[in-house]
Amino acid sequence: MPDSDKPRDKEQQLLRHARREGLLIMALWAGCLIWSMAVGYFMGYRRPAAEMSLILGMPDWVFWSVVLPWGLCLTFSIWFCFGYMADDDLGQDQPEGTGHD
Amino acid sequence: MTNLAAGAAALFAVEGTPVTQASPYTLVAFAAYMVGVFLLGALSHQLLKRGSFLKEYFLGDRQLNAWVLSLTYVATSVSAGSFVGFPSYIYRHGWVMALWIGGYMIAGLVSKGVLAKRLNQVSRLSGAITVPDVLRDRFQSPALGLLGGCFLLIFLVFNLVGQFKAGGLIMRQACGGVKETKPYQGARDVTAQALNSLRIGSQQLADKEQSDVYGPEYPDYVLGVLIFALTVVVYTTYGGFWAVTWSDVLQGLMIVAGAILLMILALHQVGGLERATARLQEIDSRLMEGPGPDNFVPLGLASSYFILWTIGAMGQPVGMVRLMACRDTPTLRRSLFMISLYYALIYFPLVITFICARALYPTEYVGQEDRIMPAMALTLTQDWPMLGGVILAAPYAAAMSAVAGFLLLMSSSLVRDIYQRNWNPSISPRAVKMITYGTTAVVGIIVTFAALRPPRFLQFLIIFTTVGMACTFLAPTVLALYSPRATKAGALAAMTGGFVTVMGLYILGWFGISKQGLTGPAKEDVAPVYLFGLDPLVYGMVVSLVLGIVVSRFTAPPSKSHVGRYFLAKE
Repeated sequence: MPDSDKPRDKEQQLLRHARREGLLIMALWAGCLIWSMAVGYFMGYRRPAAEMSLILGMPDWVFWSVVLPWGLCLTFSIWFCFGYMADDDLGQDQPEGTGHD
Repeated sequence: MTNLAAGAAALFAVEGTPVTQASPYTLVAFAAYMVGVFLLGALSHQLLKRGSFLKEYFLGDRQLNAWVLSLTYVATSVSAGSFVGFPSYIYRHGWVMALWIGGYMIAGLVSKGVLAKRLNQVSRLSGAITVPDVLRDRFQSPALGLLGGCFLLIFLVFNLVGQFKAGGLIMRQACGGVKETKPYQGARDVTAQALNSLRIGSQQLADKEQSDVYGPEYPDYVLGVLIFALTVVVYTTYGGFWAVTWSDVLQGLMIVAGAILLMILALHQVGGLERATARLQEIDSRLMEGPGPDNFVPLGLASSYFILWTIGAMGQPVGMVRLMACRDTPTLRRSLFMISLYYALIYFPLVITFICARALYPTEYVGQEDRIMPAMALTLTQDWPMLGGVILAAPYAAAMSAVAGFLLLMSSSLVRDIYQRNWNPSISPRAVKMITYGTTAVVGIIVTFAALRPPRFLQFLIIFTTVGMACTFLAPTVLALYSPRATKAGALAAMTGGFVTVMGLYILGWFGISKQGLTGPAKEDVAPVYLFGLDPLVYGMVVSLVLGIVVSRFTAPPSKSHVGRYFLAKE
């Protein structure tokens, strides 16, 4: 790791990257949870089946609450894995059990 | 968009009798797959001769590439529950199961992306080869490693029994085509006699347990379990981690191919998804809406399962071990995307397939839903029995790969976390090898006997163990990786708090506490107490995390030199 990349507290670069990436994933997770449950509830739990229309052969609420966000998440994962996530050195493997009991 | 009422006008009568007996050709395809698995096991055994036996046997010497990592991760996480239990739920409860499984839209990213880099790095820094090993080294606490190993064993035994049941059921179905042959009849008679002499299995038991497993086909089920156990225990014991991961690659491909093929055949048979959905509305309009028949997925449980499939998956030690085995970060990135793609290619096709199954067989499998998956595989491929064998091998592969991964995890816990690191650190490599082989085999045999009296609902058992492991291991692991202030006492409190909360809510449920007047899954004998409609997972996670943070805050911080090793850059 180049010295210029080190923060003042000398926290590992991998740790900073991992934390940043983890927080972004968790933010997306929260968005998906809220969207799926809210749309599923209002469109799928509070309407009788007779009022539902079909999209791609499935009830509309399933499409909007599950299929659409699923497709968007897949698209996001392409960007995340190939455009955002940093490559870091994972380090050398130590002999087994050298963790200082 | 198509209006459903208009679609319902074009309702049709779906003809066809379910096929319950496999053709001998099905068994040929099945056998070819098993031969492939054994060959991989034999090849893997050669790799055990290089380097450190334990690191090679339990971690593959951290050499997994992107394809292998993603397929082994998927094959291990997609278990018999996904391929037998989940389809039975879709068949019974309809479209609401799409929301139930919806968490998989982001499960790949969450379960792997948050922990992978740090877990791999920390395990390399300490030389750890199991999850309790990581916690023990990071927190300098042998007690934590020992406790983690014991908790892991408890949950894994329950999980394995469920997987063995699925394996036995599928093998029973696959053997249908050779049932009348002399060798099969001979093996069946011996099994039946043994069961009679041991007084295991009878019509009274079948009536008492309300399970078709114990009926007239019980000896066939037991034979199925024995064949399943023999194959999986032998190749896991002999080949170790590489046997499991390579066969996972084969099994992962079988799972994806099986799920997609089955969906295409089901859609073709029913005449399209629109017709299947319209048929469901005619059978029971509740199959179209939430929360589904019997109030099966109220919104609280839908949210709980979303959390379970994502955050819960993050806390599974069997997945964490695979993250520790990864070679480098480019491998991690590629496999992260591939896992997300695989989940999409497996779970949504399963939803569509078993929506079609209900349209095809509106009543035939109600009450014995665990049979719908093998029945669909055989019925849809009766003109191409070899293809039926390939599809039927998919859930079998799912059960095998999950069992193999769990067996390895159990023996690693016993050999490494409990025996070697607590009682005999200077044990010779040869002795380690013999104990490891012996432990893997003995654990497999014990679980086989337990599976002779399997639980009625497979999926409940799988969920119980998934929830338990997540609540026990996730918070301590996250604290270990991301909080330099986390202490040994905090980690112990987090682990114990999560375990006790989950076990407490399940045990209260098994004793029937607070179940009066409930509907849906909450009223089942095996169900836990769903406080305020939420799964025990939510409470277990919250208790575990809060205890971990609060107890760490009020105990002495760990030494700077030790923490610096894991958190600070080298000078």
